Amino acid sequence: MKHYFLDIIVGIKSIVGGLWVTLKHMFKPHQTIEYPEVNVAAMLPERYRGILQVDMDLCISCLACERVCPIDCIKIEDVKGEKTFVTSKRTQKPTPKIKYPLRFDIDIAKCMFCGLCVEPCPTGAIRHTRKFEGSVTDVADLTYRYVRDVDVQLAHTQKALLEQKRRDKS
Amino acid sequence: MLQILPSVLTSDMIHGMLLFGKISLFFGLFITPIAGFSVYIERRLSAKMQSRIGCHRLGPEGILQLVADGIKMLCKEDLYPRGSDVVLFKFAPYLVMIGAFTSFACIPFGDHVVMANIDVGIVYLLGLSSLVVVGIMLAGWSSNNKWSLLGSLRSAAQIISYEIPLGLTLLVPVIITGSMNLQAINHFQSGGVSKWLVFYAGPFTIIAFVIYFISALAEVNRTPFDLPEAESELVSGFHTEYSGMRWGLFFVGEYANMFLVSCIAVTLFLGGYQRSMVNIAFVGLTCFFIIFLLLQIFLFLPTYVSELWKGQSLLDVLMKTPPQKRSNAFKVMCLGGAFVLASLMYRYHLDYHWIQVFVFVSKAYFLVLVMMWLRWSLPRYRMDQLMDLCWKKCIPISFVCICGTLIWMVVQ
Repeated sequence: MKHYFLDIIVGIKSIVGGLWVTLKHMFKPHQTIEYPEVNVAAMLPERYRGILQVDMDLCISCLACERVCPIDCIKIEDVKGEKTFVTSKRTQKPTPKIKYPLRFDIDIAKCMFCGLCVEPCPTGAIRHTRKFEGSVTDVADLTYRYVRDVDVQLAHTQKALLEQKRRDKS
Repeated sequence: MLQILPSVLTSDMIHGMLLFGKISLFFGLFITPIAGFSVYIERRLSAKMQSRIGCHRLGPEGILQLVADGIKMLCKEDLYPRGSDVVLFKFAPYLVMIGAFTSFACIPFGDHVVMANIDVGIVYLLGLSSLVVVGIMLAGWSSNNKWSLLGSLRSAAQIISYEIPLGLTLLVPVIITGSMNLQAINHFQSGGVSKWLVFYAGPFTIIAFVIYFISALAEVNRTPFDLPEAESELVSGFHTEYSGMRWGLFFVGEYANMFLVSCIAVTLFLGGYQRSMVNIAFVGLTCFFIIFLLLQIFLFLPTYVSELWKGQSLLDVLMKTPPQKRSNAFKVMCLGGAFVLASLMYRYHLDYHWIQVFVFVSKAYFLVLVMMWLRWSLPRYRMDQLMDLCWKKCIPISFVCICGTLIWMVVQ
């Protein structure tokens, strides 16, 4: 008999406790972030691994990123050219550049944002951005092509320069 | 007006048609919007309780969401599963609706605002509310689906069990007032809070009210007692197979039922539409929501007009206008204004019918809010716990309540 009434009292207590919890939450501010209106990219952590970006002025086409990529989503084609120097973002020292990319593609659809390609880059050309919106209507559009016309022109001129030098030597 | 009508219509027929028109208007313009509005309120309230926002995109404060939901349900295909009993399957939602809607006929909303002032009001209510179970059982059986069947079986067991404490606690006001006429019970409680039947016989009537509320919750299949439509175990139970407007009818029926049991609770225990100071709280709360919504709509209008002026389509304007947050000061001012309005309503004009209706509806709606609050706070009962609560707790205690009330009345 004692158990019976105790049961009822415990039941009422727990129900009132539950109601009190939800009532408290009624007057708390909501946790929802209204995404398209709020700039979420600014709220992301500093080392967030978003869509990759390549600074073609820094890239020395060393293929370190292509080799390390576990799912082979980076494709680089290049030509040899006259040796120049670029200032590495990492070490702040001049790094020799003897190859010039004609093609630098990253298939973002395949990319798993592991960040392995960022680590071996000697000049710090490839890096993650905080951009995460990649929706397109065609999956082919997700293959990001980083080589600009300027870079292609540069590659050709450097190649021509190199050939000129060789011809002069011989 | 009567002369211009064809002479074949007798005056009885005209009166019948007028009554039919009135009743249709009542259901169409009052109960269905309240049911639809409850869906919106529940969405916002549950969001608040879970630190979310809820629907606030379509129109000011997302008020047009219920219109969008209605259109969506009307546009959906009316499917029925292979191997189902099609006639019963299509008929079941109507039964649920009929059970919920016709019960409103004898609810007194005001001194003269009652459709049928019948002397056996409580018996009528109990009888019609059982029609809902029939609808649910038909739906579950005719769906030809094991989850639906299980849901409807649970529903039958649950509702039949809880009908007993419900009936017993309804007896308490009947014993006190000596009448089954809801209007008479209502008039018995005139003259302030102390005359309310909840406080009539000390603890006994209060406990009776609580038990009535619990069994009413079970009767309308709301969480903690939502075993028939348990989302997680039965894939929403008896309405698994329903789609489109038939599913919508179940939903409207459920919300109308919630409002109905709250109306009954208010009529029998909480003094109905009778004048009392406490009404200011209920009316104030309702006024707050109405004033807040109206102000939001009013403040949104310039944005809408300017956006429309720029040549956007109406739907784009409604959907793409970002929601605006109001400061707490704004809300407090709304609340203050609402309570001032409510006190003015109490001070003057209380004999107007529409104020009586307003008082009654806001009281009943407060109980609906409590039901929603319970829904988002409590987990679901197990079947054995449900039966334990009904047969071992509610029924004996309601018997004690009846006896206690009788003794109280004799002693006084």
